[in-house]
Amino acid sequence: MISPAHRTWVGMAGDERSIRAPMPEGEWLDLVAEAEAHRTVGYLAWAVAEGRVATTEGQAATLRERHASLMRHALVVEASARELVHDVGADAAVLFKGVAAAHLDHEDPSLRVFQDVDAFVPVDAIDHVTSTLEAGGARRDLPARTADWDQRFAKDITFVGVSGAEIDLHRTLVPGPFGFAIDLDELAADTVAFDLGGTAVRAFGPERRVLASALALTVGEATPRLAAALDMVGAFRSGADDAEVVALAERWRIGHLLAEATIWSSRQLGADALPPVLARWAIDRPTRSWERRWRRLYRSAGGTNTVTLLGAPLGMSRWADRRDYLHGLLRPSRAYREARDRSARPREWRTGLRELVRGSGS
Amino acid sequence: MTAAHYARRSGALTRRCPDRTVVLVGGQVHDLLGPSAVIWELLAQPSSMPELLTALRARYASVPASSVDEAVQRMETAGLIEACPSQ
Repeated sequence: MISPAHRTWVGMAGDERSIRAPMPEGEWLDLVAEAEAHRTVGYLAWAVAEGRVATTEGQAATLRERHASLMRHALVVEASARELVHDVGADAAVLFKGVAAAHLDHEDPSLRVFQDVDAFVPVDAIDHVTSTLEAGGARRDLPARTADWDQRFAKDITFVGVSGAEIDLHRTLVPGPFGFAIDLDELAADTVAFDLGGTAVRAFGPERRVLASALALTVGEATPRLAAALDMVGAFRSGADDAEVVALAERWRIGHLLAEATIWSSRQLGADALPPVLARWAIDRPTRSWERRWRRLYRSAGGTNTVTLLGAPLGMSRWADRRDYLHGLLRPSRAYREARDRSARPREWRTGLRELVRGSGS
Repeated sequence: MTAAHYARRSGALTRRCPDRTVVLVGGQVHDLLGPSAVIWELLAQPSSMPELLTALRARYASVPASSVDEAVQRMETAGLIEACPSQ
């Protein structure tokens, strides 16, 4: 949950649009920590600069420096995104989340803080994009789990670029069954271009950006971030059609997640933040029993990473895919196991089992 | 050709922050403060080059206009940063 003051600085607080006196240092630090967690430091920095949030000069100076630091990192990430698109082609790496939202769905890119590049890569371009990145010096975090894992089952493939920026290449948008239910061809069917320092890059169209935000708010993270809700609101401001958003969500079997994200965002940002028709639909929409079962697999609803992975076959339509997926999950390649052992990551199944036991005991 | 076109040709990535403009060009990040930040903000406007230069001269009598002119016209972003008043 976000504090009432948070609504003030993201400009959604109706008549109470200002904090008139500087806060005691402890309260101020709590608010800055909240902004960091929700990736809304850009909103807070501008609210202070515009006089909507009163601070001491010391508080303001520290905040300005922190915001500038986050923006320096954002530019390094953007440079990596631009290089990726330049090297592989705009249709092979469709940007979404941070970089795309900053430029398309917020009043100014400096309002949106982000940490990495998120790019959707169509299945038939995955080999091309991963080999191009490797040839350019980017480092893949782990090898493919099995020979065809990247193309069939991976949620994403993580690289660290030469500049140090993380690049997440997404085969689909989220892990678990919902990620497999999304129609990837239809997802890729609508993109828009925008300029990134002289390079034309592509992002999803506004309806798909709404759905990507809804997924981030529900099953993409352990706890929802306000930045994703602001992305969602911004995508509607950019012209997303609410009927089309709902139709896509239902076809991709993520209608429940859209409804949940809509209700959460409306609670945080105000009833008028999202289209009223959508807000009404979200409240009235019945939840099916299978949706409840799928939802409980995710960390944000009490599940664990292991449960999400094991539950993924529920979203697959072919038995052969389920069989191959589970085989790859339980018996990954030697290269994968060795690389994982060398990394600082915890032991996969041991940790998963511990999480399961802890989860069942709570 | 507009000033914004020049900014794009330079390959710079920029962010306008409350007290500065952060610019990444040639792999280096610069924090531009004061007049330098204003120059970058002007560069990001869709104005023509003559309009940009007129605006710069009108705003900053202390800016070495010839250096700025030269850097902008050669589209040398790093040169433009150097030509700006000290930060």
